[in-house]
Amino acid sequence: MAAVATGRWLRFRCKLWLTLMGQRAGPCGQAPSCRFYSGSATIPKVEGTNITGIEEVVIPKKKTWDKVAVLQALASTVNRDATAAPYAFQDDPFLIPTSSVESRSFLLAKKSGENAAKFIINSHPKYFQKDIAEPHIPCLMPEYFEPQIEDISEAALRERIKLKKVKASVDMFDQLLQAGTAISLETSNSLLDLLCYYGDKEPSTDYHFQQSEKSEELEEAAEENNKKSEKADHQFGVTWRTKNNAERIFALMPEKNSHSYCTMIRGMVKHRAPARALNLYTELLNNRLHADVYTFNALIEATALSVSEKLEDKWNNILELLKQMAAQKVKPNLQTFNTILKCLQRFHTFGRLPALQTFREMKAIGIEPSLATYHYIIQLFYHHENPSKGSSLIIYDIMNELTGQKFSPKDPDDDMFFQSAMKACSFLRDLELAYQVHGLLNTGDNWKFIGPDHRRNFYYSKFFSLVCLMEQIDVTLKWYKDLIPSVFFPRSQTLIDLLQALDVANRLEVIPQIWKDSKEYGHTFHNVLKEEILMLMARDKHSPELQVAFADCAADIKSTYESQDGRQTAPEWPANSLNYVAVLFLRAGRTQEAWKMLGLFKKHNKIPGNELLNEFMDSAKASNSPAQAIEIVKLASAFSLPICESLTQRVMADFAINQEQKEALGNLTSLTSDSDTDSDSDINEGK
Amino acid sequence: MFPRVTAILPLRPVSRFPLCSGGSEAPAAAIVLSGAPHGTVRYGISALLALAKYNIQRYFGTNNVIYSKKDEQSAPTHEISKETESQESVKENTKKDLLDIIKGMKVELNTVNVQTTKPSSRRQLKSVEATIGRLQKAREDAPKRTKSLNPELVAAASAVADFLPFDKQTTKSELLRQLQQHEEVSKAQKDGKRAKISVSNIISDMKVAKSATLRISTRPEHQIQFDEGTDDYMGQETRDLKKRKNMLKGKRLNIFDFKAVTEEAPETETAPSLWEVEFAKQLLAAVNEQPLQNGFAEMIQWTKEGKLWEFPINNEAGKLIIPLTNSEYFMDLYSICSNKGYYVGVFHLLYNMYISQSISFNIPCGVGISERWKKSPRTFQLCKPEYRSSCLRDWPFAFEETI
Repeated sequence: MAAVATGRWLRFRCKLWLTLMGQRAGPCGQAPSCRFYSGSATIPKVEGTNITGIEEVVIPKKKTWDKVAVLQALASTVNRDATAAPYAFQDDPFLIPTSSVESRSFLLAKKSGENAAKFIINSHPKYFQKDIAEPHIPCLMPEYFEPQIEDISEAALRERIKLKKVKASVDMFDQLLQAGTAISLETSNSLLDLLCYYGDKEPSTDYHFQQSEKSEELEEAAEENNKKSEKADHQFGVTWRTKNNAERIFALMPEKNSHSYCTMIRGMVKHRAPARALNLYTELLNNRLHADVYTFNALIEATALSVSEKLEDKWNNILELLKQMAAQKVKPNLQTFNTILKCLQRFHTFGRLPALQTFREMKAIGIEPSLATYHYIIQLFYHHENPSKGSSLIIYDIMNELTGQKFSPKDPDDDMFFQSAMKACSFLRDLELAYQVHGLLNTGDNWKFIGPDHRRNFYYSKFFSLVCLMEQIDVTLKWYKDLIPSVFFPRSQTLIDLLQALDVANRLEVIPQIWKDSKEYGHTFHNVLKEEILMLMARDKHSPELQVAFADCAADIKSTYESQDGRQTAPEWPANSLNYVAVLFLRAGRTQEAWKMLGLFKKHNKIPGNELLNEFMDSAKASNSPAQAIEIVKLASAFSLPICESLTQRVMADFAINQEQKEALGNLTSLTSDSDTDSDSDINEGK
Repeated sequence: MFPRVTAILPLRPVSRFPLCSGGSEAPAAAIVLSGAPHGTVRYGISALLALAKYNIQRYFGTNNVIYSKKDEQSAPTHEISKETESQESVKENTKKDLLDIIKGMKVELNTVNVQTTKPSSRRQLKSVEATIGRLQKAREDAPKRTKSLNPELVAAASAVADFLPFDKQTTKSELLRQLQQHEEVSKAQKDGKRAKISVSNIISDMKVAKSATLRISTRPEHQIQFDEGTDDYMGQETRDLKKRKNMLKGKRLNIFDFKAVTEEAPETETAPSLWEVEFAKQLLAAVNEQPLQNGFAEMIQWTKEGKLWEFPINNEAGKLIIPLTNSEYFMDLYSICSNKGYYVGVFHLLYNMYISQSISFNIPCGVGISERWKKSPRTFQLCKPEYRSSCLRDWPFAFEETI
């Protein structure tokens, strides 16, 4: 594993560096492997000289260090600690989160604390005037959001626009207009920008923190909605109203240029008034003006948004717009193509061929696609895919193209790529491809594109599930150790996948450890998981040592059923779990506790399984206790189980029982048959 | 390899032995499946299973075991012998052929599932290649020998028909029809590209369903379907994944001209509008919201925000740095640290910095160690020598006393 090797090397390098730090051991040149170069400055290669010793030594040029160069070099030597929580979570040990729910609230709490502080400072700047830092630290000082210019002038309007005071700006504009002051086109345009961008609403403060509060269980189902809600994040509820201030001011403006039209069109599209935007575009053309590339991008979106048109017509309209761009010599940009692909996503299967052609077009004219571009294509080819159909192989082409690349942010949707790529891998069940995607994620700084917390969890859950499904168990466990909990906290389904992998590979002895981890990661009360664990432990018989370990684990799980403290729901024992726990106790020789479990069956009104009763009988036979055996028969008859008959026969055959006990048995069986006939007759009467 | 397949098959949940379930026959088959050796035939069958319904799988499973048990001594009591010659030697041959074919069939099915079960070991790949080669050879031989169908294939068809729990005769005739087609196709393509149709295609193409409802309910996750008219799809193209046409290359829209787009336009210098500014913010937000990876990354962020001294330290930037003149202070600090069991590493770090004389550092003397530090020693904080005064409260040292 190359990654491991690099890791080791880095650690070594780190050590070297630290010794250097400590001792200040002369010029770095003595240990070439410890040198860190920052930025793009190129250093002549000197390594060759060490070998031959003849060539001239090239002394590197003096270089100026970036202020963070040293820190960057240091940061590159630090590896992730697979045994610890992520760095962001390192805090007071009591506060370090151990489950995904906790981690989310941790991050939210931290961020909201910051925001609250910022809010207080900014809303009461007069109390935060004392500048103790020297030199001055601007980001710790209050920002001024109140306009300083009091009089009515264009400068005052510009200030209000700069401070993003929507209403104050509009008021100022009206006052200026009433006073008969001419307002320059530039100022009017920037006012329009403000109004159109925020849809004639006061902008929400910048304090929002993009953390989806969606439950992770709903992740996949809610994915679509998620996307929408994110898009609609700051424009939520803001729709374009006719005759709003933007339209009013636009109408009042004595002279308008392309910018005025363009910003109006963009605002209309942004706030969901595509039809108006398209009309305004016609108006723009009639006035012999030209739209810029951003406006065309918005118009493409408007075309796709417009209702009641056939997909084919929509696509033709988009093509028409592109042709107009070409005719007007407007150069398309990455956003143009990403917008098209994003719109084509909604066209489902119809969008595939156009999407490919669009992609080829952008490549052909030298526009480098961003991660979002690939994301849209993957979505188009895999999102609505029915797994029973053959599936597209386009992801292989995409990964071949991307492997080894490093990315920089170019599109707000860039952080969706890894999630959708991993989803496609999971869909295709191709582990090798998943490794390829994961490799890409770990190339350079690409990890920054993994997206917010919930998307990271989604990505790693999918990845790890695939590993569980396809990888050899040793490698799976290695991944388990490596990823959990330092990268993500497992969902219960992730743990169940792991359990199944353990089952397939016949490595059930790891289960008690998995249970311990599950408790730690907040799945103590997850019944499906607990039942799965119990079932795997109880299914087959194992060596005595393992049985002891399993029984301990079972006892621990049993205690979680009993002490659901602080939880509202009444403790609910599933019948299966009762069976499993009892059988595990029996096999480990903890007969007493096993018998207590039988009591629980009665208490919770659950029926013991036949297998369990047989095992109890075996245990009674092993300890040669006819009394216990009869007790079992009694229990079976109390539940009116059909197995009662055969159990009785077994007791008769296997145990030396006295007359009294024989009679008792006889009574029991007759009782059972009586009750049977009773219930039969009941049913008959019922009919 | 096998465990992976079971993990995928819908069969999986049943393969455990439910402790208290009353059903006794379902586990029986399941046990047979999981108990059988990891033989190739088994694997082939398990791949085949993906084509059939669960109870059919059971049927398969048992059959398969009978097979693997008996094939050493005598021919299985299936209809193969009836369909082919009754001579003993031919029977033996047929049996061998049949097994070969079934093995080959397994390979074909494997390649269909190649995405799902791609083996990580070289060895496995080799064996797959070898079997493909064998099958290919058999296929190439086929048209030479007879004008009609190759007896090998007939035998295979009947065997497969036996396996499938549908009407045997219909199944067989359907299979043979398909094989005949295949024969024709392969003859036509004999000189050109090698035929793509294989047993797997035939089986997946075969219409043996009893009723529509059954078909739907039996459709497992990995059923192979052929989707015409769309782009490259798995199943048809998996085999030559490498040779496959790159879908990202090909016909484009042809609206824009490379030269027109790439040529340098005269840059018009305008201040970025609100739209551009906000877009840039949005762009960076996605990346910058990633949690910091380590303490150095945090320090980088602080440096950028201006909260931290820049490194290498520019002593001219501020006035607060007072060089320490004697080493007694450190001995005091050391005694405080060690007496109270606090983090001695702090001392070492400071001492090293002092000795090296490269960093002068102002720490008010006689400091205690803050409560917070006691609770959670953060090793990374030791790497923050260039803290600015305003951030010093984060240090383990509280400003309790000064000299």
